[in-house]
Amino acid sequence: MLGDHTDLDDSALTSETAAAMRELASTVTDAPPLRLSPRLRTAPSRRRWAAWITPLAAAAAVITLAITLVTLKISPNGPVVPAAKPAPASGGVPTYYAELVQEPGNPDNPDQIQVRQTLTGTLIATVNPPAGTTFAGITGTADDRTFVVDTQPGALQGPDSSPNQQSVQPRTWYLLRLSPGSARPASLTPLRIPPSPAGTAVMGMALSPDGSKLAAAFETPGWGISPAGSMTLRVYSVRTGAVVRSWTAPYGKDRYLFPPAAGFADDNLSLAWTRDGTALAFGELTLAPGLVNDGALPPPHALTRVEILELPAATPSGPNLLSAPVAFTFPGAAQDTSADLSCGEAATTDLVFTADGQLLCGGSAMIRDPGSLSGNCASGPPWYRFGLLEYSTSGAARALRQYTSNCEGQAALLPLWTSPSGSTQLGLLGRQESATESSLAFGIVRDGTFTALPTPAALDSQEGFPVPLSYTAW
Amino acid sequence: MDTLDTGTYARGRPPGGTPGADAAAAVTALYEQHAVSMIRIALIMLGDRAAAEDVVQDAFFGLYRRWARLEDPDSALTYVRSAVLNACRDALRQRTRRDRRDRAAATAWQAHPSAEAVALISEDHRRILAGVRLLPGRQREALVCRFFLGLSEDETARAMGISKGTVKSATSRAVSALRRLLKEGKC
Repeated sequence: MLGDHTDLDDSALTSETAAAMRELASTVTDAPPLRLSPRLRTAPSRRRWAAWITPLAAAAAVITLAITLVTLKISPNGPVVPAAKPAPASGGVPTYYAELVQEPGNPDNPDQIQVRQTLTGTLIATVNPPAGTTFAGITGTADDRTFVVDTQPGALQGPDSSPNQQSVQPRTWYLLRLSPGSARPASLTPLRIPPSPAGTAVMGMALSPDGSKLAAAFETPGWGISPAGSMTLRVYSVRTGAVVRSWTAPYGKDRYLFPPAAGFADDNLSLAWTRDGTALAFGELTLAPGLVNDGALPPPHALTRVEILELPAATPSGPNLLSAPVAFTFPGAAQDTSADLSCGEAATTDLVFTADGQLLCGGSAMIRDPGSLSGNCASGPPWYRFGLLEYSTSGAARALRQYTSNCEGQAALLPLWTSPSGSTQLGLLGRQESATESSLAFGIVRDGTFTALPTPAALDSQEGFPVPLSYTAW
Repeated sequence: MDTLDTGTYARGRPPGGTPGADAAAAVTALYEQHAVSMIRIALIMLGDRAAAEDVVQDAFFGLYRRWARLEDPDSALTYVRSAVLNACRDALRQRTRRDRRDRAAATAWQAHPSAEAVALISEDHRRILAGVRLLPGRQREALVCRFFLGLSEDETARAMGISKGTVKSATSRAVSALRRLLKEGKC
C-alpha cells in the first residue's frame, strides 16, 4: 500500500501527510483541566530521576509484598494449606488492570472504571461513563494499556431483573487508553463502531491482541429455545468501525453458545482471540432435550457435550457460525461419573490463550470426585482435585496445573490472564467450604504456588460462586 | 480553523499589570475552547501525548501571566499557537541534545506501534507519521503549519519566526525527505 506512496507526486504525498496528521489528531478528544500555576522547571531532571526511581520503587513494592502478602501454598497432589513462610511475590504479570466498579448499594450497575496496579491494588485513575449511561463491559489487549468498553443507557440491571436476564439495551463502544504517569492517566475515546441493535444481548466481546479488531457476539434472546432467537458474531475494525466479518447461526435447539461468566457485565471470557489473532474461540454446550427453558445457564446435569469451537477469522461472512471446527471436546460430561475430567459450568467460559496459539488454558475445569457435590468432607486422604486445563487444537488435553484438596465442597481455579508461555496466571482461587462458607482469593499462580494479591473490588464483594469475572480486564 | 470570540476575552482583560480573576476566567475560557486543538498540534510535533499536554499547559500559563501586557486580545490564540510551536521546538531540541537515539526511537515507534495507534491509525498513516517524526524540527514544524493547520506561507513564516523563503525551502525539503524515507523503508 504505502509503497505506492513513493510514486505519488508532491501534491498527493502532502495530501496523505495531512490526512495522517488529522488521523493522529483525532485521537485527542479532551484536555486535562488548566493549571494556572507554573509547572516545575526541574521537570527534565525529575524525569531522569524517575527513570531510576521507578525500578527502585517497584523493587521496594515487591519486597514489601513478599513480606506482607498472605500466601497459600498449593502443592500438586497435596493438601491446600497456608505456606509456612511467604513466597516471593511474582513478577511478570501485567502492571495494570481496569475494572468496572459497582456503586455501593446498587451492585449491578457499574458507574465507574477504576484502573489499578496489579501487584499493589493502588488506584491509578477513575473514569466515569458518559452522562445517562452505565458501563456494560470491558475487554483488553495484551499490552495492558488499551481496552474497549461499552456503555448502555440507563442501568445495567433494573431492580426487578432476574439474574438470568441480560440487558438488551443498545451498546455504544469506546476506546479506553491508559497512560499512567501522564497528566491524563486514562481517557475514553468514542469509537465508530455502530451501536448494537436494540433487543440484542452482548454474549461476548474480545479485543484482538493487537487492538485492531473487536469481536462481539449478539443474541436475540431465545436462540436455542425457539426459531425466533438469533445468534450473530461480528468482527469490527476498531479504527473505522466497519464490520469486517459477520457470522450467524441457525436455530440451534437445545444448544447453548457463548456460555457466560457470571455477573451482568458483557462477557469478556466467553469469546477469545487466539494469541496470533487468526481465530476466535468460544464454547458450545449441548444439552439434554427440554432443559433449556428461559435462557438461563443450564445446570451441570443437563450437559451432554461441552466443546470449544475455533473459527478462523478469515472465514467468509454468512450463516456459518456453527461450521466452526471443534477444537476440543471436554472428555466426559457432568453425568459421566467415570470420566476423570469433568467440567464446571464455567469450564468453557474462561478462555485464555498462550503465546503459541495452540494451547488454551481452559480455566475452572474442575477435576472432581463424583461425590464431591454432596458437600461432605472426608477425613483422610485428599480426594478433591481441581486445576487448570490445557488443550491443543489437535484435541489432546492435559492438566496444566492440578491440585488436590481435602476440603469440603467445590473448589476452582479461574484464570483471568496467562503469560505468553503459560507458566504464570492471574486468577481466582475459590473454595466452597460448605453450603454456607466459601472463600475467594485473587492472586498469581506460578510453579504450583498461589500468591494472594489485593483482590479487585469488582471481585471482592462477591461471596463464593459464581463471581462476576468479566468485570475485570488485563 | 479555530475561531476566537474576541469580545469575550477582551472583557476579561484586567486593568492592572498582574493577572487577576478576570484574566484567569478569560484564559480558562480560551483554554476550554482551544486546548484540544493545541494538544493535537503538539502531539503531531512531539508524538507524545503527555509531553503535548505539558507544553499546552505551559503555553496557556504563559498567556495568563502576559494577559495584562497583551496589546491585542484578538491575538491571544495566535500567541498561544506560537507558544506551543516554540515549546515543541525547544522540546525537540532538548530531546536531540539529550538523546541522540531520537531517530532510533522514532523508528522503533513505527516498528512497534502502540495498540492504540494500531487501533485508530491506518498502517500507511502510521508510517507517514513515523517519517514526519524523523524530520528535523523545522521541517516537521513547516509541514504541520502548512498541511495540518492550513496556514499560508506568510502565516507559517510569522508563526515560525522565519522568512517566507525559508518556509518554502523547509517545506520542499521535508516532502523530499519524507518521500526518501518511505522509499528506503526507513519508516
